[in-house]
Amino acid sequence: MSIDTNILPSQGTWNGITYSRRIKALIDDSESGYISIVDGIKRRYNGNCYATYAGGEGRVNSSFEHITFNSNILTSTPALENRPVNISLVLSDVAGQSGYDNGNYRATVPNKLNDDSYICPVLSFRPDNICLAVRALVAHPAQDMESESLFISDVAFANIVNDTPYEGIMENGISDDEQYILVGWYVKPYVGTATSRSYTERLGIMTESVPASYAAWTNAEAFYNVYAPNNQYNIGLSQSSYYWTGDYATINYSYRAPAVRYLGDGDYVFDGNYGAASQTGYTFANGDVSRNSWDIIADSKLAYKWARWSDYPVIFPYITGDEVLRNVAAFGLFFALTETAAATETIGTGTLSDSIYLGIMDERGYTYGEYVQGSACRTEPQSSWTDAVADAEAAGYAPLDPAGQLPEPPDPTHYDKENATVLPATGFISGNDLYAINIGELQGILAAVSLEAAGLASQLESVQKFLTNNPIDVIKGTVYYPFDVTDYITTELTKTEIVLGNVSTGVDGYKITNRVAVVDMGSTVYYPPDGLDDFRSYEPYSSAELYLPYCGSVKITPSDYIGHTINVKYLIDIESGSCLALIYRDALAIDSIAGQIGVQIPITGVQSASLAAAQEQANRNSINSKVAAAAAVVGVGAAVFTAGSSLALTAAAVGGTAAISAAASRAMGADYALEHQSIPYKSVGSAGAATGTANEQCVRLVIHRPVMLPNADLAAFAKVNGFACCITGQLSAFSGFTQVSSAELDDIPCTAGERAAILSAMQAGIIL
Amino acid sequence: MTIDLYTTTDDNRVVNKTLTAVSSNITVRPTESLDLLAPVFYVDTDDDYLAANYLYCSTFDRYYYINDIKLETGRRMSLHCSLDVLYTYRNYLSGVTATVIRSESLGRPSTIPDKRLPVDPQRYELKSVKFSKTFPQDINKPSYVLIT
Repeated sequence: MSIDTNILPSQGTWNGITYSRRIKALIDDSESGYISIVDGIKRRYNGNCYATYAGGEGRVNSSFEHITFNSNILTSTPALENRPVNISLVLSDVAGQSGYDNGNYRATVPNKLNDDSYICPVLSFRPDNICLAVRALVAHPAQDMESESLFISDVAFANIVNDTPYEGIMENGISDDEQYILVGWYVKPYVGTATSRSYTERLGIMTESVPASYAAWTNAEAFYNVYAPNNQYNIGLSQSSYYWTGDYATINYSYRAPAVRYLGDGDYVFDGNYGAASQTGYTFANGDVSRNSWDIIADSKLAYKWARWSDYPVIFPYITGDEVLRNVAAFGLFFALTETAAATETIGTGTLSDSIYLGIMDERGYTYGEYVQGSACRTEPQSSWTDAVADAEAAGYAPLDPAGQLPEPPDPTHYDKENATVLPATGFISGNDLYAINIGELQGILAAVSLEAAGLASQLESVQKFLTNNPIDVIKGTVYYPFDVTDYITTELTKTEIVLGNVSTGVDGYKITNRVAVVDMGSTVYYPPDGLDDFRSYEPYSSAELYLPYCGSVKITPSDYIGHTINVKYLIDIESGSCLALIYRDALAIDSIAGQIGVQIPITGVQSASLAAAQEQANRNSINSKVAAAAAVVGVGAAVFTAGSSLALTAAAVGGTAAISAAASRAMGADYALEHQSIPYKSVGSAGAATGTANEQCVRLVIHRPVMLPNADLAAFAKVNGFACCITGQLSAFSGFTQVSSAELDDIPCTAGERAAILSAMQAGIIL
Repeated sequence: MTIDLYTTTDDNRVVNKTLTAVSSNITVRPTESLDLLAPVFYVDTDDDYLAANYLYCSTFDRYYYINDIKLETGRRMSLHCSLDVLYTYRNYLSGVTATVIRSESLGRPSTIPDKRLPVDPQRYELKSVKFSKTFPQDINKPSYVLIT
């Protein structure tokens, strides 16, 4: 099947298929793909562009998604960490090369993938020509819960999508020995017309998962606190990581990256280069997954670990069917839960069956994981787009491949205007100068001032440098932060020599032009212990608190966060050291706590001007005293010679001697004062509390939740009591013990007394 | 008027009871008025009937619990009954729309507070989750801010 030539804006041809301007630019190597910097993050567009995004910069339902690209098949795990994932459909520009291989090829070309850049997801197909078939990767734990197998199961997937997983294990409709856990998903693109489509390998769904470079990887390594051997860096879109081939009845498994095993106690071990370092398929034998990427972690929930292409483990608990749908909805495209439906069901503006879904996009072309189903799809604008470019533009959407400059990608925090806390992008600065320096530079500054004070060569220099200004007086304060300040200042930083008054220190510091820094401390999804979302997980039964470094602990309301991502950002006043920790539920900050993160560092320095002035005065005193002493000697002699009396001489001599002695004493005292001039020190600031620096440096969520009484048997309890609920519906939907508060009994052909008896029995509890 | 006698071991609250026949087509001759909800049926004495605890009355087309059996004069027995509205109208109940406040079929507690649930009032489990990022505290990086 070849791709419909009508579905791409014609900017060039490849194997008879037209493609977009962006693809042409990439093929021609005329554009690196690097576009812009927003919030310090490089953003890059790639792929064949136009009209629809996939994933809205990786955000789905306020959570970043983590997706792997496996042989033209996208596999995703939801809400792993705050890491951007980037999705785009790519059209292979190399004859005979699949989109997958081509995507990987592109990812390895240096100028295609810059450090710290990532690809904004874009699609160029008119929406009614492509339908994604959603497939699910299902795990089937063995009875001993120590081994698992992975397989594609439409039945299991359907069960999971239609029901709500319970602790990752479906109970409804599946017997104990058929428990499934949904661990991943992927999509297969079916391309064609609104009524008939086929799966094509030429259309690859490519994802880029940071780290895309060594530098990015090392950052990620620190980010995840994961140890990785130095010789194990598979960077970028390594197609040798993992992928599935075949028809999934037998899963062929190929990988090069070492598997990582999560030991449950926070440690990881690498199993080494297990398997072949080639692209040849590896037959997935029973137990392989268990040995290399599965484990039962301490709290008995299953976790799944990929070594992936950069060797860090990806650990996630089960995902729900709804999460799968929301993930796929992020493409903003039509999708179906079976390949048959993706191939044959009508999409677009025709008569749509309930087997067709469509991701909802906002007017900017971003998606959040919301979707509509069946005929409701027709109300979404992209249903009627037949010319992706013109229709999108006419609808007010921002196409990603315009003839001119590409539009600025939106800040991810702006993705939901109504339910997102948007921090101002502009900075604030006071009248003071702020410099970011390290400890060595700080010591250098103080040393420079001391050397200047101690080494004054002349009174003139003293006057020039110090009498008009005390360098230590220029310093208003010094604050220590437990992070590299320059990492979190979004405005441009330039190194500038620090000049204190008239004294050049010879030390360069980063001059800060934005007083407020924003530090993202990461996130986690609030799952109750054991994943149980029942009344015990809410107040007043449960309580939760967040430990926030430098702020203390703050109680949070579980109902505000259960099932949502908690994200913490610190707003830090770099000048005062005060901070405000914003606690986000998804993208909306709903709690906050103030604290003090900067540690005031007192600095003691020579008050050089005072010292110089004192020295100057002492010098003058010394000179004056010596002059006075000399005058005293002359005066005494005159008195002797004029008196002519021995007695008077004696007396005068005695008095003269005393006068000389006094004058000399004053002169000596002035010298002494000059030589022993005390150094006038001055301290700037006071010691701030540093206990926070010795406490845990990450945010921690602590949940308290009541447990059941010892030996409590929930099944037995349910048989005689049922579980509390408030559901109105037909009794046919219930089984076992059932108690009602009210019922509609009109259709029962019985007497009034019998009706009252029926209602009474139901209210007391019946067993259906 | 005839009745069929059964035994059942099911709880009275069970809608779809399992019935085991004891005897059928037993003739009943009412000697006085019969209450639909709590009738008393007089039948000829038969020791086998003593095993029955449930009956069906064809005339009323209803099922009854046998609450008591008394031996009467004239070799008769009286069966003191009460109507089982659940089994009698079992075919209608599945279509009844009701607001259910407790259900076994939920399989687990819901978000509705349940004071009956055997929750330990004293013991709690504690779950702790570390966020992914930490303050690195590296004084060799520009971690000091000099204010001038």
